[in-house]
Amino acid sequence: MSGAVEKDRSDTSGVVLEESLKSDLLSLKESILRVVSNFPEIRSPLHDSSRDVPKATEQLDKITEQTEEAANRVLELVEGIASSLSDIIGNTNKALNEIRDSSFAGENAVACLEKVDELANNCQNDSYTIMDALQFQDITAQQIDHAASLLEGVENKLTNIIGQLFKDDTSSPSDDAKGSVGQKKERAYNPDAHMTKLQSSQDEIDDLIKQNIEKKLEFSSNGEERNS
Amino acid sequence: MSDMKILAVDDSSTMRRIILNTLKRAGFENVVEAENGKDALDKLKSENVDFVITDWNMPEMDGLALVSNLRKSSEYAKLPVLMVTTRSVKDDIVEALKAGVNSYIVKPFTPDTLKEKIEHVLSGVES
Repeated sequence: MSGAVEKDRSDTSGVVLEESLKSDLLSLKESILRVVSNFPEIRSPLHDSSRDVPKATEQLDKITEQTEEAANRVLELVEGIASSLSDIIGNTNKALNEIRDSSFAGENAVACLEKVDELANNCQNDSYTIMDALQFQDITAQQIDHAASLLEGVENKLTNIIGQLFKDDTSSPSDDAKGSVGQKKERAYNPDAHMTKLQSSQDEIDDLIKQNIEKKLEFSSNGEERNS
Repeated sequence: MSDMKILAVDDSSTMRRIILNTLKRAGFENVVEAENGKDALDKLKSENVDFVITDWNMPEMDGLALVSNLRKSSEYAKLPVLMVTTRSVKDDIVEALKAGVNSYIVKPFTPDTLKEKIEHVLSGVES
């Protein structure tokens, strides 16, 4: 008797489980159909995004080109200024020497020329400082290259998504995106490039170099002792 | 003025120009330029270079590969090399030293640092 009751109970729970599973599966099917029905709507934004990314990287590359051009123009001008100042300093010193060697008691003239010499030297030092400051262009170019590289990564992912989602679509918009993938600029950059935030200072680097030399010397003297 | 011929290797034309100017002010007038490691190896075939200053991150062949190539060759194994780069992570510096660079400067550098490092390498302090 108890066996029959147990069989009834397990049959009932089996039916309940089956109904519950059917309901869950139907619900899952409806969710999947809703998602798939949205695919045509996301096709266009995906395509637009994958087309916009190469434009963004192109603009970033233009920034690098133009800043390099501008920095080189500034360098050229500053080189010219520094050269002219060298001439001024040279001629000023010549004039000073002539006055000092002659009997001409031109104290004011000497003072003026010394002042000119001082100012010219200061200007020349400033022009060298400007030249050195233009190193920013190389560092910002690397930062821009990093950003462009990240965008190209996004572009590749978008292209893959488009390819996967719409692979049976003969007019797949991914063809446009694929075209840009094959023309990538080779980027060589340090992702941590920065004007001021350095991981190691020059002093710390010098210590590492010193330790490296000491290790080499120790190794080579140990080698000599063993050979002797 | 030094007659020493220096090869300055950097993919940035601005940086090459700055290095050139800095070297000139330090008394090194004889400078040859290259855009990357591959270009540098080509230039070495035709120029009698005494010293190399190289960047790290460059397309086609980077500075580390250039140094490794130099150290493996019988002709350039002892050629002094100074690396001038934005890379300042300790592991990178150690890697460069293991590859065979004689000295290392981080960008942005001062003219005094560049001059000092060249002189140290030449005097055998850093070699």
